[in-house]
Amino acid sequence: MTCGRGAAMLWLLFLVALLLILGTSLLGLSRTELTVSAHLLNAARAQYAAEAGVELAVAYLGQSFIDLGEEGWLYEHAHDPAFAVQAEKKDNRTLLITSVGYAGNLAQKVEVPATYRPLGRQVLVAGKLAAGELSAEGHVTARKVFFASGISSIDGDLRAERVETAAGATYTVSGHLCPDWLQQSAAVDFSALRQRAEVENWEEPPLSAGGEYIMTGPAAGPLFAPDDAVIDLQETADCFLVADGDITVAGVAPGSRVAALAAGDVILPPVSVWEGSLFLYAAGDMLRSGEEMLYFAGCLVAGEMEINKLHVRYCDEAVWAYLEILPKELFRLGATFDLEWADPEPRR
Amino acid sequence: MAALLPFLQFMAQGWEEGAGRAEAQQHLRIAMEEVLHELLYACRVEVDAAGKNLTYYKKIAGEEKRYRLYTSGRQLLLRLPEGVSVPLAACVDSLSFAPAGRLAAGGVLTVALEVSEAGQKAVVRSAVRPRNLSAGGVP
Repeated sequence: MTCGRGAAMLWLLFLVALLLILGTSLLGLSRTELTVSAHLLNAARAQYAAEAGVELAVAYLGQSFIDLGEEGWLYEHAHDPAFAVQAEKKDNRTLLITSVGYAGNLAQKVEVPATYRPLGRQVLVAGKLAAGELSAEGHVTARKVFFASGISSIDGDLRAERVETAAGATYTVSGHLCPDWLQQSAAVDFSALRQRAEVENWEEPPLSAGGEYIMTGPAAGPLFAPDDAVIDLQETADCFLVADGDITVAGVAPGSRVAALAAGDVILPPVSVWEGSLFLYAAGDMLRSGEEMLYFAGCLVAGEMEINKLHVRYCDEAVWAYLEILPKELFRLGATFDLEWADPEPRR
Repeated sequence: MAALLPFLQFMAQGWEEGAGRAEAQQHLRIAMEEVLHELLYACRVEVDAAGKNLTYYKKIAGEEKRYRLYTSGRQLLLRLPEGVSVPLAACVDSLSFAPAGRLAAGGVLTVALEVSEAGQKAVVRSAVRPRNLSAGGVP
């Protein structure tokens, strides 16, 4: 009887030891699984924190890229999401944004080249826009938009507080239809421009027989017309013109880059193709009427726009050519960056 | 033993069905992961009118390279810029993309994929917002 009791004890001890080993093994496995899951979770969190840093840099530097010096820009965010982001100017168009996100004991680094878009890929920016048969390749921003006639298409976003359509007129938007019209004022201070022209001794374009200042070819520097002006390029030219009156755009030589600002109205050309890059600003109205469709690349900014039969494709070459001279107010219009996200694991 | 035989046959059939389902789901996961990963870094995405073929472009060393996703037989293929096609997944019954046309910047592309293996079907629908698209298609 005594021997039998002892065997039961041994069996019990053996069973307890077996359960202990099993339990310890399971515990170890669970801990390993937990560590792996935590690692994956932290890697994802760190990645998103790094991306948050890139987005912050884009939002902040969109407004201040022009003034960014050689030393670049650095920002550290200690709280969740924790990241350190720095931006380094590669040239006058591009930045390299490097952001490191932190989560747990992990860090993830993201490097994104960013190209500055001073007008944020907006082709038309206006307080009021009345358009007929408009074809825009880029965003359109206006407080009020009225599609007056024909079929209009916007290959980008339409950012407008109010959109109205006349009977028979239709429009399509390939991007987003946003009610968040730009709140920032981009009104150019022409008195400051007048002063600058005087101080820096900007030349005046020659006077035509009709008494208007006329620009027909390349100029050595920026031009200031104290009254109405006409742009009628006969040869390829890069020009910057400020007119203290209206500007009428007529002919163009292919390959020209023209940036022009009018204190009054701007009248767009009756020609069907304007080859080159064009940036136009009108403190007053911008008008385009014609029987033929006008094709051009560039961007237009005005207080009010009344345009008909216009095909405009976003191009900021003319803006780039005169980035240093153009009034900074214009870059409050929604300047942003084109980001080039690189595949961290390229497969093919 | 004789009573157990039908039961074993039933079990074996269940096992085969389960294995087929698992296989189909694995094919589905691999295919969808490959497609979404490819599209995430595309700078231009175009879907044909039927929503069956997708052409996308990626910038590699500053140059735009063209790729195409399509099905041939039951294979999901990716046509590389060099002109050769590589298989991404097998057992694919159907593949569709929406919306048709060129995807706008900030747009979301929906991908639906159906695979089957050993009589077991698996369907999955996912979406991706390619990160490098530019507004207005302007490079």
